[in-house]
Amino acid sequence: MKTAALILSAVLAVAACVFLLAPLVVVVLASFSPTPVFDLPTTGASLRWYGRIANLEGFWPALGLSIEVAAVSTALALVVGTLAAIAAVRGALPYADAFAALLVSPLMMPGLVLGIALLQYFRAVGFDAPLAGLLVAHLIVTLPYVARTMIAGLSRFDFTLIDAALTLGCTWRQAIFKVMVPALAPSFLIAGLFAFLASFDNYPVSIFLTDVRTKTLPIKMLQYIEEAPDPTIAAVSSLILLGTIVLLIIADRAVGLSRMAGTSD
Amino acid sequence: MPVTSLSRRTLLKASAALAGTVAMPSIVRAAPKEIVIGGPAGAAKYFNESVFPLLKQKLGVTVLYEGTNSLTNLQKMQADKAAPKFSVVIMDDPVMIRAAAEGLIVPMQASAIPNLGKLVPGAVHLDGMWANYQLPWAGIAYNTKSGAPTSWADMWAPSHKGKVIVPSIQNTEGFWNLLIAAHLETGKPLAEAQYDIDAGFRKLKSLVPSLLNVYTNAPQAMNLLEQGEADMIGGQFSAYTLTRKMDGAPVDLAIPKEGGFAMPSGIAKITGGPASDLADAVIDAFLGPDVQQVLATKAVVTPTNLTTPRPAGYPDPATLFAPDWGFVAKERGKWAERWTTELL
Repeated sequence: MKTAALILSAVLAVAACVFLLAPLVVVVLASFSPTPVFDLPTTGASLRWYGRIANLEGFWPALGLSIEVAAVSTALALVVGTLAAIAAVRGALPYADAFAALLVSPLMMPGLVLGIALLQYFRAVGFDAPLAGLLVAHLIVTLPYVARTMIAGLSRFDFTLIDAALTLGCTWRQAIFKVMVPALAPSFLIAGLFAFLASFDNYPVSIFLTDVRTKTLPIKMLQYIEEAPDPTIAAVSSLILLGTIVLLIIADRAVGLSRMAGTSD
Repeated sequence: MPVTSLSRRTLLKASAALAGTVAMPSIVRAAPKEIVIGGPAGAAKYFNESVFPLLKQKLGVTVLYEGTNSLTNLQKMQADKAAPKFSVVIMDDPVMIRAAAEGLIVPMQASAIPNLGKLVPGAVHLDGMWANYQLPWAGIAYNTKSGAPTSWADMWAPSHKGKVIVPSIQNTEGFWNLLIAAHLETGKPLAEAQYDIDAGFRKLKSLVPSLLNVYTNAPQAMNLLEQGEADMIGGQFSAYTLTRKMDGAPVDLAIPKEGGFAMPSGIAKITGGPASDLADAVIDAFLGPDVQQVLATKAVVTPTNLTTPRPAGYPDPATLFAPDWGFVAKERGKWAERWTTELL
């Protein structure tokens, strides 16, 4: 009986993985299509769509902008989110739980609602700087990932270690950088990774805040699909997939994927 | 005061990040001669690849192109009326009529745009409010494996059941199916049938079992056609179908025996838009032989400038039916409602 249940759960786990990965496999296969039809290739393979990417109109600026926005919003979110997490965990704030919930609340809100709300708000207060607006929006998108991870990381962190370091002759600054930061490094890495990816592939919020001069990669990719239904977009998607896998491998080497998925301890 | 030094450091980091933000190159990217044009998404590829480089070379102007569908661009123009972002807009005639009625576009002057006087008859509308810079032709797009349709009635054939796609009435090309349905139902010539929309809806209702999909987003429909999921798309047009054929997709465009149609691609100047002189120069170039020559081959459209030769094999625009777009513009809102309540 127990064996049967184990086999069943293993089968279901494999089926779930296949279900999740199948669309990605289709996209990757379609990217090697030798014909201009977005279809599974049956007559050989070709790299022509990868060759086209470099010459796509507006691709490099869009990629650059996406990386810039993701990097800057992640950096800001790491600073702000960590401080907020310290306040939530250590600050003896009244209603600390409510505060922590508030910090991660943008995660619960549909992106479209957030996007429209921000657009209306920026217009209402007369804030008309597309890039800065986009950054603020992405800070809101990335902050919950950082706050959530850092609250979890800090609640496992033994703050008496700092006292111990101070007793043993460290200055306050040394105690922070030699004891607290290294102990929390995995949390920083995980938070940063998720925040970066959340910003990099954000569409629903960005669509309301980008204009003709400021277009992020996801916005541009949807535009490419509207221009021609050829496998170029599959090639771009496959490269992004590859980049994500590389990032995950690095994170696995540095921290361990089980810790990232929250399945350890 | 160790705590203060920590917060000062964090503040410093944050402000460095902010400074980095402000110093980002994207902000200072603005080039001196720049113009924003709104237009159809489907045209972005050949505009960006062939037309805009030509404009850059001829006029030294960098074009920023906002490609989406006509009605979305109209909404943007309405929203930005007080401070327009576009200088020039490219839309189909029925949407131009609404833009003109709302004062969003301004008449063009032949003194500033000399090519206005060199167009085929009927290409300039409402005393220069907008002009047709190209005439794509519409018919039935089909997958080459399923064979070319010879009559619009083929869309109703049982052999194509569940394999026909039509555009939504929200798209300009959505009107062709309604028009041809009215013609098939009443037997009246197109010029009369175009006002008998009730008959059109009656006939279209009998097309529903044949439908695989109704599209507002052409690439998705074209993908189904290219993969062979669909046999044909009624009302599709040359600038989209034949550019895909040119790229090697297994599709073609048939002009059935009842006739094909002329798509109305217009260009207009935005009321109070930025860079007025540049806008005139860009519109003049779009109406001139150099750009139209490029469009004829790259977009597979009939030129409207009299000095631009029509490539061999292209239909004579005089043989294509051009409907009463004023009527379409006036009634389309009602049709869109009937479309969703009666057909879907």
